[in-house]
Amino acid sequence: MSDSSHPRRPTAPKNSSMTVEQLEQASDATLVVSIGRYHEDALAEVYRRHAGAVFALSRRLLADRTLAEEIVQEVFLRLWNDPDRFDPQRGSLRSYLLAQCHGRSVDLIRSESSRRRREEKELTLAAEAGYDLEHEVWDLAVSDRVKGALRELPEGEREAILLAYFGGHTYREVADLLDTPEGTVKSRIRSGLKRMRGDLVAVGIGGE
Amino acid sequence: MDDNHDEIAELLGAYALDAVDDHERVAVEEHLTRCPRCAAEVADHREVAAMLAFSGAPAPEGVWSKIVDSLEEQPPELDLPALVGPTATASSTAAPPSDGGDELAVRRARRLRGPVLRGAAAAALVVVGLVAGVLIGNDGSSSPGEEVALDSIDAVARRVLNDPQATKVTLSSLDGEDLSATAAVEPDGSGYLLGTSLPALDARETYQLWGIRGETVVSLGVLGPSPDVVAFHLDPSTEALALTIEDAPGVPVSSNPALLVGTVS
Repeated sequence: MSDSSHPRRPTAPKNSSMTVEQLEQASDATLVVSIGRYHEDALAEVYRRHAGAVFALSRRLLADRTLAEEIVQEVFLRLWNDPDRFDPQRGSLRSYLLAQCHGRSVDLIRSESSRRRREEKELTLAAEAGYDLEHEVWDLAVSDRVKGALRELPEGEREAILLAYFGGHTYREVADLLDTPEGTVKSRIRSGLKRMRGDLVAVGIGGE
Repeated sequence: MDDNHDEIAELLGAYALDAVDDHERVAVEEHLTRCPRCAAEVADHREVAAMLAFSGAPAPEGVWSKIVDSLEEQPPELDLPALVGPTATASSTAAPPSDGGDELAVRRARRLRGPVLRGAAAAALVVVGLVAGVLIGNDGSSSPGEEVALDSIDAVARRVLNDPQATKVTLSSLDGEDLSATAAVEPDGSGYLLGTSLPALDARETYQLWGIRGETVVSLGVLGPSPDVVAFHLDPSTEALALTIEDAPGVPVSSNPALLVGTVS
């Protein structure tokens, strides 16, 4: 992890529309509208808020700092080039950015190393199928509530979600890894996500 | 609801985690365009995934400056000649990495066209009310303005089109679509748009005409879903005209790409 704690606020943008205070108080959706009007300061503020999470996810998935940085760059440039793709009715900006990041990272994983992965399946099984991956989530997740919700899941659901999301595996690969029918894995991922959401909403997180 | 709804629905969790195969992803995405319930479910799953992903880490060092560098290589401001030139969609500026060329071209085109209608909201808001009354649509649905028989407008418009004193503006498609409209503006600012080749829209939509000067975009009026000949008034400093499709009854500020654009020379 990096030394100098905080992401610095990017330097003063030339195309500025809001004061620093207004920027800090603006909602994510407002910032995206502003990005649509080519205001770099709005992009800078979105970056300040979310780049850390995007970076952490891509680095975890790719296990490669340089590739992860490229993904961060790509995700934010994409937001700049095509802000209309983000629909605030469809969820938060952070989940949108993380979904973009996850999709691109997984594409990379699958394109560059699919063959190697298959060869190393045995090893992968040993390394990822159980405790380690889960442990990593415990370490990194900031919210006790999220950890709690994950902990509450039936083991099969938890395993399937972690392998798919952090392992970058398709549900078919997960089924293979866990020696479980594909249909079961598919359902478990879905029901696990629903269950987690229910638990989190119940404690006041992610409801809206 | 389609036959395979339940089958697709079973995939939604895996889809939200990018854990489906390509053909399944295509099928899900196609389904999501038609099924708001499933689309909402995917959004919920992604929120949960985002919470799992969050680790509170600092942003990576140095990446922001790379992003800014890339931004500066993008076309910075509205460039009217580029907008109407045939090469507008084939700009050679820098692009985000690892994307398909076609998709990029589309994005660049959108980006180029974007500012046409996204700038200067305030000015547009003020003026839209003032000029709307000048317009006369042939379908009777669009304008509260003074009633003039279509025949006479048509006749006046054609006379102006043939008037050597009048400025002609040809509005054409940025996407190379076979669509165009012609406008003629008299020295006193009286303008006429011949929209005879424009396809009729759904009744819930309308064509809308815009005047552009620098970054200022002003609505020149709402033309209705099937304009034939419409009259408008043009400020002499106007540099270009643009036509968009909007939801009826029109908008004060457009966020849609321009369907047709033409410079006022």
